[in-house]
Amino acid sequence: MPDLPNPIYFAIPAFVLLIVAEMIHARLTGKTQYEPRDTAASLVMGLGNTVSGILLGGIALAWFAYIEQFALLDIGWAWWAFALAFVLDDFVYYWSHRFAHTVRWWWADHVIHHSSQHYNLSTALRQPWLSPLSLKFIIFGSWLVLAGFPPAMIAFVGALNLIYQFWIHTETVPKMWAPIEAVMNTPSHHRVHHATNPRYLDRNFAGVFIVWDRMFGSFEPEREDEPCRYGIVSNLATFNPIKICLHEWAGIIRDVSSARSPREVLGYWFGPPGWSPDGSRDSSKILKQRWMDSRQAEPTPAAAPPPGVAQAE
Amino acid sequence: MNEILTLILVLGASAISVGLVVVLNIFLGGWTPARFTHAGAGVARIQEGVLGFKASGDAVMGRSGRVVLALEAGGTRLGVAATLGDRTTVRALRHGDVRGIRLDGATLTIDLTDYTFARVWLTLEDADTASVWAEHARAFVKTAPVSARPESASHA
Repeated sequence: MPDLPNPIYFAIPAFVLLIVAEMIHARLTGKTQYEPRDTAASLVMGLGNTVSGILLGGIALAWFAYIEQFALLDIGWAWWAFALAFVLDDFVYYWSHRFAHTVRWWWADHVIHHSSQHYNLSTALRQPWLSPLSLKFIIFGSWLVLAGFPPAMIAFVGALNLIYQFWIHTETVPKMWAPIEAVMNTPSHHRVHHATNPRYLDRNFAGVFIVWDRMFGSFEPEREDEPCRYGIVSNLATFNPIKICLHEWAGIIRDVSSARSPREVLGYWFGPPGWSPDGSRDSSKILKQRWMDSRQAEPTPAAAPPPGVAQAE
Repeated sequence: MNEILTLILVLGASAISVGLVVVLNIFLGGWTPARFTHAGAGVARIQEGVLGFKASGDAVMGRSGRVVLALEAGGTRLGVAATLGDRTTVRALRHGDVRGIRLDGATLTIDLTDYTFARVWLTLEDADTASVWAEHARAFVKTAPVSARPESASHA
């Protein structure tokens, strides 16, 4: 078995340099904004994610080491195995990401990444601290191990996948050459994914290859007539990393403790984000339907800030 | 041992880098705190952020321009728009979303059940206006009378 390094450790200096470069570019061009408290929150979340991976990542590693004995094949370490693992891992990422948006248990973990109203390279590092406890990696990653890919290889290509996704968190790169936009996940595609405009909700779940979204009906192109509004449907009113980390878990606990039946417990826990027994809350599906209904009555509202919201000292 | 040392170095360097990047962000500037210039701007922001919210036309803005309250037509919900850095956060409060209300002259403080948006406070033109909006907000409290006891506020 080759001694594979963790490529994320090597990428961290590049992450920092690229954030600095984008920050300077933002200042010179005004194409995007960095707000210090938002930036600090995102970067602290990223650092905490690394620490939690070290402290809690052993759960997934121990599980993968255990189930490796039940693998169907012994795929080994050939170069083509790395390439195949990279593609298959991206396929798994697509589905785990899609479920992370549609099952509240996993959304509680993933929402952290979407909780900034800014969209810049620091947002890429705004990551959860409790992912290993959500068991997402175990549930979605096991089948690659069971197929015969070595766990270390899966961890390696998974890290490459995450490194790829860093650079697409930017407003400074416009739409790219059409063949690239057709196959790869790009800044344009991922801006849509981070947008809260009803048209864009729950779209473009891809990690590296956007083809999965095209194949499974979740693709939405970025439109010039509808600029992205970033964040979440109910944006956070805090920069406190602890609250950012825990807010949706707190919501689940509050809702489950008020549930009046096992059905309500399951709905609040594993239903889509925004699920409620009487449908009074706003899930993505309800928002999209309401938006579709409203579109028939009036034109789509512009996404620019309404007049009168000034940027004043 | 080498791996642990490397890990500590990577984490330590990362922590220092985080601090330096934030300091650079402060130094470079390029952003300014958001402020509402009139209540209508906050209402527009609420209607944009809460699909289906139809303002009644009854709205008020705090003196600082950081908070706008707006009643929904029919009185079903109380819209709140508050600035957060260079962005804004909005909510449409329903019955039960308000934990308590306090009045201190022209300053109205509303405690919310929201985990990340626990409190909103605004100083209005006069005590009468604040009292009127305290009554509006009271419709969204499960059980709590308006208190005249002043307390410090932490948000907006």
